[in-house]
Amino acid sequence: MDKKLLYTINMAEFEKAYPQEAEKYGRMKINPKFDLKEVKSYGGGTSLMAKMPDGKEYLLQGVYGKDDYGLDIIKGYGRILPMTPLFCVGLTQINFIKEFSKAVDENCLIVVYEPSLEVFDYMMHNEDMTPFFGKLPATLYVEGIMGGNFVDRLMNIFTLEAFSSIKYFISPNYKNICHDDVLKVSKDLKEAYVRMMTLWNTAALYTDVVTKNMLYNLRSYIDGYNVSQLKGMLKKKYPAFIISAGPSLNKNIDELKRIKGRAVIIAVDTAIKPLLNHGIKPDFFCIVDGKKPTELMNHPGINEIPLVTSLSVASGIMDLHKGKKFFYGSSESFEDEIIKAAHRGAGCKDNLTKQNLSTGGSVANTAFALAHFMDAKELILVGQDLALTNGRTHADGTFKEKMDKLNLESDGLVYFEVEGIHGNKVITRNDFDRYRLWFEEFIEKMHLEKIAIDATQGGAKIHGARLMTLRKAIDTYCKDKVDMKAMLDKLPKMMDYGAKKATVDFYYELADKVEEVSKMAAKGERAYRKFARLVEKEDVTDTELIKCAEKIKKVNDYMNSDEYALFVQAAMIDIDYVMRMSIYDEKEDEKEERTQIAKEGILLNGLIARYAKGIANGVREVNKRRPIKVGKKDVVGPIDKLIYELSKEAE
Amino acid sequence: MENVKVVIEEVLEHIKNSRFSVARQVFLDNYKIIENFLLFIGENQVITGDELRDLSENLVASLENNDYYRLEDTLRYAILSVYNQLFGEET
Repeated sequence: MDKKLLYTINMAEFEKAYPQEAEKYGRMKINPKFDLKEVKSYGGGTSLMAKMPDGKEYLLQGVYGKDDYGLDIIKGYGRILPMTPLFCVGLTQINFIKEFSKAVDENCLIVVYEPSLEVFDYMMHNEDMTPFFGKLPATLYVEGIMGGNFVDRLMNIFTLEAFSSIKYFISPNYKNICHDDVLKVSKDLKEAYVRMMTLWNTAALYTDVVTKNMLYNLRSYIDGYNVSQLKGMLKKKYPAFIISAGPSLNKNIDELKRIKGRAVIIAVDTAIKPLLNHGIKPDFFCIVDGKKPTELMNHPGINEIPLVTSLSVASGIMDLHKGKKFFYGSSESFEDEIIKAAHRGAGCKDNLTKQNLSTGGSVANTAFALAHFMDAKELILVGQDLALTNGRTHADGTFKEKMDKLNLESDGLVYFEVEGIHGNKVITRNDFDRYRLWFEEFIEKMHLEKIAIDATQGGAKIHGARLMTLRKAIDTYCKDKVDMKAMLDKLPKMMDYGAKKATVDFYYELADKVEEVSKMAAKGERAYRKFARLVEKEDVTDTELIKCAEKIKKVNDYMNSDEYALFVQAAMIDIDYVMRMSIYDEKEDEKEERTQIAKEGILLNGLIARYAKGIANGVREVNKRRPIKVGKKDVVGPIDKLIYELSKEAE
Repeated sequence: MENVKVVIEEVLEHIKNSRFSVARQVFLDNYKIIENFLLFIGENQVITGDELRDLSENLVASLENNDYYRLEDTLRYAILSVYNQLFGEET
């Protein structure tokens, strides 16, 4: 074909597919970094060679195997799955790109990145480029003509699944003629993949760990009590001893035997074993996150001690303890949905609330807050060193029967000095100091200076708390007997039969309902990707845009109103920070703004789809292993009996 | 004659795995074998004199420019292709 005619046809198609870019290219004056020359091709026609400023020459298309080379590359790939995407650097191996597109599905993804304006210009004048402007399922990106952030573009084009199976092809000698561009685009591809993986892993992490814990713990939750039922129980009549497992506990633990039911004892998780081993039975023990090893709590006496915990604690801990459990509110919105579901079926809703306890990060903070919540007359801290007493972090009998001294230089943590209880200096570290500051702020805020007592007899000074030996604290404040067990035995469980049934029904419907959310979000992601492609076409018709926008609106309306869609999105609030990766440079014009909308829509819907799928799979897995049943055994009292009989009739 | 196929395939394998300096060394160490084959096909007029000259020039230019794509192109699609036509491909 006449070269002028060929160029005219190429430009016409280029203008249709990429009008702004075609216009920019038409106005460009190219300053070549190297020369292109034609050499005889034994297959017919000519092949392309680059001559660099230093005189070196690099063949860009084969002299003897111009067309065969591409075919051999395809053969070398072996079996190509229909949706295998291709990322190709360089336009010179057109035959390879065409053959690849034949081997895959028409909807597969091909991205051709051309770093050289010289090559692009040559190809526009000498080769049939029309396949790249609509016939092939290929996106063309020419350096210097196409704008925008390339990493963002890649994330718009490729899905995470596509990245995992992508074929990456660098045309021959491009590493020699465009070394820096090839290096950069390799890094961009990697960065796009890493960003997508980060988003995926973050969603998966939240889905896997927290959701699984909550799903596993639900059986304990529906059979448990609410910490709100403990509010004001001590009526400022009885003191509470908050027992932590600091090293000072070693010296005064046996003193606690003298309490003899004349105070409430609240232990932290790490203190439970040493206390039980010394024959001291606390009234409660607290767990905050349950990340500590279950061995710390592995004692036969543990089931007799009511546990104060939250729904999101590690399920291993929850399963280990068979006794009464009092739940305080977790930060998870899943718990809100459970409570809502319980409300729907409950006869009595008094205890169906989310009661939070103040915390400074340590379980001792929570235990102290609990004692205050219960209206203890005095709040007496024991074993609350918040420092390394005798070079140790914890009392004997916690992590080990005999705790080792720490080598402060080798464990990689930062240690520093603070004021000790005797006005001396003691060594502490960041986390202990944070907990100490929480105590001081809580005491000040709640005006507890008269009733907060530190009977640790060691460690860092907690300003605001009065110092006292444990012996004196017991002699001074332990007067009247308190039968905590009798008080707790009178409490009804958090959920009656109706609430339990409604919760279990919600639980079993959850997988299917959330799966629907996942499917809808996947539709949304596809609609936004189409929108992103339309935005690239400047001459897109109003009809095309409106049709696409209507699909997007349908998905958005669903996401803003469907109960389960709202639940999934609310649960994703914790991973909102990863969405901020998509908030980037300022938009210059309407096209940039639309691109931004498309990008965020793709990201958000992709996350929702994956997160919802993860929840659905998690629920099904838990259902399979540990189905929850509510039946006659859960009927307590006349109202439960009535609801039970009515629900039997309905079935 | 079988040696030329072995040598070419070894060079191509090194190029495929981006072991360019090894490919170059193997080629240079065994250039005589390839040259003898080129002389053979030239003398027997399997290819024309011009084609033979082009083959040699391409081989030399590929080494001068460290253009291993050009070396691969010449070895695989020219020389090895002729060899396979003459002596049949192994199945």
